[in-house]
Amino acid sequence: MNNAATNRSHIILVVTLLASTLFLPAAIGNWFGARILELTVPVSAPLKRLVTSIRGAPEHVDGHSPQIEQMRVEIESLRVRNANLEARSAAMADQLERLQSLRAIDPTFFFVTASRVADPIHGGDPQFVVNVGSRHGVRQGTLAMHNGFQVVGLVTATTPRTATITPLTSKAVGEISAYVLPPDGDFAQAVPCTLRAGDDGTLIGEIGMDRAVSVGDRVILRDPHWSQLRTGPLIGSVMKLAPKDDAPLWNNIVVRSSIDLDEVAVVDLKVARVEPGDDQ
Amino acid sequence: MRWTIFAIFAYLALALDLGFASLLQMEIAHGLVAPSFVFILMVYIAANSPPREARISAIILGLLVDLTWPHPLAQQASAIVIGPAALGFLLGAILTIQLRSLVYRRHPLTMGLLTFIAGCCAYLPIIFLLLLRRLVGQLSGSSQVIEWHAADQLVHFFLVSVYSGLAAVPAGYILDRISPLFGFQTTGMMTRHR
Repeated sequence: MNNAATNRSHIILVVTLLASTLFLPAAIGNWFGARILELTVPVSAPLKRLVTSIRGAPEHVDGHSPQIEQMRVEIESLRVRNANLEARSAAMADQLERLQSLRAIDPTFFFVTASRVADPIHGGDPQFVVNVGSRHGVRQGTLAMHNGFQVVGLVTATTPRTATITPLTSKAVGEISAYVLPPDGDFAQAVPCTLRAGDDGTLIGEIGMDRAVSVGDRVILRDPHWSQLRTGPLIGSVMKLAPKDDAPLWNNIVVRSSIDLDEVAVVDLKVARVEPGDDQ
Repeated sequence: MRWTIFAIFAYLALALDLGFASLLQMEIAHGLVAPSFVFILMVYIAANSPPREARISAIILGLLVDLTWPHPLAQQASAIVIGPAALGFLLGAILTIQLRSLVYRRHPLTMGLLTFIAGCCAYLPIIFLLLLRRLVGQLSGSSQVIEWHAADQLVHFFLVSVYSGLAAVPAGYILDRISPLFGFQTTGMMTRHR
């Protein structure tokens, strides 16, 4: 009897303690979680590589993809154009100012390559963990890309050695500002839109019926550093256009990513290069 | 029970959950469903060890799950919440302790059945507690409000229980073969053996 009563009181105490930890600030849980994750990575990372070798993954070309080269060529041409514009009259100052900001971009843009080492699977959300963290300059909100140009997702949590990435197609990312490019890639004709995660791994949004958008058009992320490049951070392509039932002047747009985000094994994290004296 | 062996298997089960379970995951009802090896280990220990050790190990395994389960927040961030899985696993262990005397312990399907039933019960308090935290966060105007939808998670965790139950059949067979390593005490335990 006494043992049963003692056990019961212990259980009540433990349950009370655990219930109280439910309302601790997230920073405390994140700290302990980071330690556990870093302890587990030495075993989960090889298992993850095994899984990747079994399932296959899109080829990673380590930052030298044709799209990156194309971006370098575009930026170089913009630099030449900027030098010509500097010699012209003050009426070009507004465009010159935008081109000046493009000149400040380092084409390599300090990509940090990271491998996928763990998939926290308990909640059903497709998050994954990579093996670079705040020590490498990765911060919450850092863009994660595949081969340097295909957007995979955003960093939502970091530890000194790891980062948790939430894919762009997850509802946790919220609203995404994007551009729909016409087939010829003319940015002047790009249509701005706002996308949000759908239920089946796609992104959905609304676009006015008067906009020249068609199925197959590329969709890029509205990133102020890359906004005028045809090969900007690619989200995917328009999969479907259909009129909205409750708003006849608007179309529902459905965008699908160009790669299977679940199969991505290596990502490039776009880390802002901070130079001494830069105005950030 | 040998706690050193328990620690090793807990570590391996957690690493399997984080690194290997994605190979087995399936997309069902717009969510990713994969078996939880940590939960299977908890049920196995609860089915074989004295009640006090089963409860302690369930809490420890539940805490490990809590600490490796990031919950999305509204501002493109994520948070670790300590407690829901620990309490859920504790409930699952208590239920398993009650049920283990009613089953044929050496039957191949026993682990699968126990895992499924324990899962159906263990994940209910998890859902409730996370919903409670979300509600408290919303009412208090906190910035750390979990993006959590109970209806979706009910379906998700039911499917996880089913899948874990299926995975527990071969996992339980393997664990039975290496059960001497755990050093379970068999005296005083009301398990029916074939």
